Amino acid sequence: MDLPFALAFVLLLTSCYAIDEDFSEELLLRPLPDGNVLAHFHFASTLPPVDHYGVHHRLFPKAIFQLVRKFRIKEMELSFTQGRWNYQRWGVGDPIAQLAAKPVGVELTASLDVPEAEVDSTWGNLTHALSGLFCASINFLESPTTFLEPWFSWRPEANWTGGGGAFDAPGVKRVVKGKKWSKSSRTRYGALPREAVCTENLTPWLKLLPCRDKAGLTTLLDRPTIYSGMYHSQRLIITSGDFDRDEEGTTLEQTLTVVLRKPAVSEGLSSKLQDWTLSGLFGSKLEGKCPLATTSSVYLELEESLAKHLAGDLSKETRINFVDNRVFSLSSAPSRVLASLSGSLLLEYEAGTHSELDLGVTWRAPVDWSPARGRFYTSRYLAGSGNARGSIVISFRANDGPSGDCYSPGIEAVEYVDIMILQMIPWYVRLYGHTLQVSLDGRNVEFWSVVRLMRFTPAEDRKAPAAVEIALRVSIATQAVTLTIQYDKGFLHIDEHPPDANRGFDLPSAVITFPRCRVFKQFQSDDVGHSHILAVVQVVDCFVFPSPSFVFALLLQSQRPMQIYSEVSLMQLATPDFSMPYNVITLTCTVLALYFGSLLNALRRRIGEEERESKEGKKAGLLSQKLKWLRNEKHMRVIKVILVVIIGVAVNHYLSSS
Amino acid sequence: MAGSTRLAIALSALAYILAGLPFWWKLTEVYRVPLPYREVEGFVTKQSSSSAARVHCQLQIVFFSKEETPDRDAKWSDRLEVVLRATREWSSSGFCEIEVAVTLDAKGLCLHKRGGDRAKPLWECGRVLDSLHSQDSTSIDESLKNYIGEDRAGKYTILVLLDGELSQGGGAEAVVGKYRHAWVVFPPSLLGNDEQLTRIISETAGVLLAGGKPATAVAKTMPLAADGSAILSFSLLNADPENWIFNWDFDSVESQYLSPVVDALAPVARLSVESQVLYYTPAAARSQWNADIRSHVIESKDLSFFVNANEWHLDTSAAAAGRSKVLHFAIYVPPVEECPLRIKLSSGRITSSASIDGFTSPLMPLMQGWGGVVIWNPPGCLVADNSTLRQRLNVNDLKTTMEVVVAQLRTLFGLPPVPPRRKAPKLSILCNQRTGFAEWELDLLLRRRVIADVNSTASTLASLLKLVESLPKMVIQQEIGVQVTTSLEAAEKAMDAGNASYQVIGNFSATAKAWAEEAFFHPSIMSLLHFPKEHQFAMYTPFFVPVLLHTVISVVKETMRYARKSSRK
Repeated sequence: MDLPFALAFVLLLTSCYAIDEDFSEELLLRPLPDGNVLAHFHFASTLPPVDHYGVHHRLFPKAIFQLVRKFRIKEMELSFTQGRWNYQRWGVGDPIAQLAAKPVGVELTASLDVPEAEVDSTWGNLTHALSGLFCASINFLESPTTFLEPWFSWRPEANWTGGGGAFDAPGVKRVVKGKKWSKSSRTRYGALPREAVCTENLTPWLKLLPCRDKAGLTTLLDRPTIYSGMYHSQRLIITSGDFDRDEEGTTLEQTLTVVLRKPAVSEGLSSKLQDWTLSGLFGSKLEGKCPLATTSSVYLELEESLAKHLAGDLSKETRINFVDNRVFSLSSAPSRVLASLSGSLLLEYEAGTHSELDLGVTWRAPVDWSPARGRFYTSRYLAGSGNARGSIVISFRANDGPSGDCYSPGIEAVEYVDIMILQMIPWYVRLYGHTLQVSLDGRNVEFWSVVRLMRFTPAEDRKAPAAVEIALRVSIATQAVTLTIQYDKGFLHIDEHPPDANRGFDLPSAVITFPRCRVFKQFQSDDVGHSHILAVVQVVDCFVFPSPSFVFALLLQSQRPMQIYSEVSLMQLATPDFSMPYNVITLTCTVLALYFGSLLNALRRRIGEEERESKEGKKAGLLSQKLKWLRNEKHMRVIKVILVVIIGVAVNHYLSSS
Repeated sequence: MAGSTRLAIALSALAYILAGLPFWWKLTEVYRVPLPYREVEGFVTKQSSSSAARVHCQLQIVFFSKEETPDRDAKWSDRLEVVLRATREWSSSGFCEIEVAVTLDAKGLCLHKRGGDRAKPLWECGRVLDSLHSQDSTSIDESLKNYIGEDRAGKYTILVLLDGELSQGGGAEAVVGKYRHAWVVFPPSLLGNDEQLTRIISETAGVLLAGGKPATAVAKTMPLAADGSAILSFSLLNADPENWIFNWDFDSVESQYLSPVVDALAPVARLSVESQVLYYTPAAARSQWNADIRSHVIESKDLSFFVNANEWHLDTSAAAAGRSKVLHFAIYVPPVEECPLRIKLSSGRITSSASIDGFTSPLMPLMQGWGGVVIWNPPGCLVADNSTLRQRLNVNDLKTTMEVVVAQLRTLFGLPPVPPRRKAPKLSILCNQRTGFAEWELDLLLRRRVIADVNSTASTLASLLKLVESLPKMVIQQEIGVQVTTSLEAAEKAMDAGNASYQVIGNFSATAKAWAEEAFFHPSIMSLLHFPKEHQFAMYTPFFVPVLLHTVISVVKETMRYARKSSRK
């Protein structure tokens, strides 16, 4: 890697704060190997530090700024997701996949600059403010049973992946106890897998953009289209340096990722790949740009394995006809082409210059390519049956084929893989820590031979969820890793069940981090410039730390490692019959009343005597003689009817008055 | 006796149930803190029955003359008495419990007359007043402020200057200053006309005490939240940024125009300011081209549709905690097709200005949460060719706009947008150029707020207690009791404060209102347990109906049997 390039990165990373507000809009389109199309909208607003710029803004949304000030948000990430990101078909090891893949429902991570003791209450208030802002039930995250404090997983400051950290001593048992790790962590993580995401969440999100959906890229967001896609994830990322690093201002990134279903079958060459255009996908062409955006671009990304079909060696062949080649043809010519070091291509179109942009791809030849799948295919499932017990299994299976995106050229290979698992388990799933087991390639192994670091915080009933964080280190040759833990299902109070209790309970996704695997992409262009999407895309290409280049090291410090979210599992608990309390009351009362009645009668009545008396009474009953006319059946019926009417009227009157 | 055992059994079963009743009653009782029903009722009737809701004011009228007056002592004494009586007519205005003192301060003569019976220091006679000749009203106002000295909320002075040379045109003339005093220039030659004298003095007193308006029985509620705060939210609306994009230097606007106003209003209301710039915000009302004045005109009847609730995402503020109030001020920049945009008033007049440059027109759709809308037409209505025009509005561009905003703010607080002038008798009111609110106006606002607060406290507490009474199964927590008592105490203190300073009274009334609202919106009341009568039926009937039926039937039967047997014997 040459020096000017390195310097460019240094500048990019340590750049001073901007002196004015800035807004940019970008859209990245990527054909997916299964024929669907990924569209990733990215909007970024930046704000200079308050000390320099003041509190009155022209572009930055007021609501977000007030949120940041009020709750002293250092970092916050909120996502609304519908559908599941298909890691196998859509990729893992590239930054767009990293940005796009989120667990179903709502996920919120926030790092707050408030005293330790106030973090939980501030978090609660923040969830309320957010739920008001986005018309969602984010306020359910206020309950301490729904969020946790990650000890390792979101800790930039705890450099446990590097040398000298807790990972260092192999074979040494390390169960982290006490608060040593949690000190100074003001990050909270919570997820609501049940939350349904819909257009009422999108409208407030759009309201934060200066152009809303009136001009620019957002005009493409046709509600029926984006919500009928296969995957939809809408995010809001806030970073503010106003509280500790006063060289940085506040940044608001809004991204929306949709995986759109492949268009209806046309006469394409391949049965899998379908031709598409912007207007075909979104129902309209792109007309103009948002006049307030400094950058307004559309990118078409060709993944490395697809780009290889265009030319044998991209670095040598620079004259590729992108508009019309043997693999595909494009409806319009890009204004610029960026090639990453690993070989993927990014074709750039500027939205403002084309009066009307209708980007489209027509496939010429049947091509087949695979996405960057990452080293392991991860899944989590529940084993066992019945309402009493079961076990949670997290399994990693090595992806076959050339998945080796952890081996970027020029980087030294390492023999092991680190895996970090963060799992939040609701309190009604009672975990048995002693049943934690690890198996490698189908054989059970000694737990502490692969586990380097573990945090196991047991749940407290109705107060806190169980938090499990496990750091594993396995050999690179391992084909399968399985972790199991057994649990008992607890019983809930009748009022703790959600409205449709028979649906089951969602177990939040496990967050799996590959700390040594940093996704990364670099472009051979001098002018990566203002584009926020490119700044993101630079972090593609998994490679292994420690790297020989200090540029990489710099990037590593500022970027997150690769993360994967497991599936959301549905767990069936014993569901009570919700009318049971009343049934119990009725049944018990009836039995007791029956008992009371018969007891009283047994104490009081003498059958023989009564019979005798009734005979006597017929002759000379004093009282019965007086009431003789009552004996008349006709009279009796009238009286009965009157009595029933009176009771009915009385009950009715009482009920209506209440 | 035979049969009595069975009767005893039946009766004991009934007695057992009857004995259980008090326990059942006690056990199902909910916790209800005793609330001061009688005190609240007394307070409410006191507030509503009379015009007792007043704050003390003090008015001194001083006849000042450097020379000896031509009239005799006895005549002056009568004259002071007349003036004293005349000012009483204003005693019920401006929420004042007024005390008037009238003084003659002439060379070698010092006479006092007072209305109230409280011992208050009177005007100190014989102090030297510098010559006021050749000064304009503003500087006279300043000099008199120094001369009068003591400046305290609720204490007003009218200085009648018996000086023929000061008056222009030889007639009587009154000026209300921007502090807490007014002066009347009255030529000694006119002294014979007592009617004119009392009229001009009482008019001046009316302005100083009540803003010149006759008394209104009900204090108008102010656009403030329960805790006396409001957020002024300013939005610059670019109707169509395809043509031109305006933003503003709001930091300077705030420090130059708004901060003085906010500071001045601090005793009355805690205001805070925030701003935003919005784009793509067309107005919902269509305008028509008027070729005569070369502008687009909106009819005043269409103004109520001007605010476009669908597109103007003014938003409430996250900084607004709880039930605080947001007042939106929208500065609307019309699209180029509709520039310049003007308003046709209901009187038929089209708002216009001499030049086409920078033009604002006030309109006040005083809806809930609204401060006002101002249309700001870009100078010249010209678009730079082929490129989007971006422009930053500076302090000078927004001067007129902010004047309109301050006028709108005055209207919101129930004052005239600009101080009115009167011809007969000649009376003018000085404006406070910096803050827009004169000190006596602020006093008036504070008094009005105190009365409004106390009234609202009374009504809130009354409806709270009514609610509590109507729901006998509702739990009333200890906290609510404390809040109600605190609120009531504070309200009573505010009313019985006597001569306490306005600040103290204002604090009491604000506390009273805040606690009353706090109690009314207490979460435990809001989330009232819904336990309808039907559920009670469902709970009790399965057991008690069969049991009671058995018991009652057995008692009746046994009694009849017992009666039959005993009668047979």
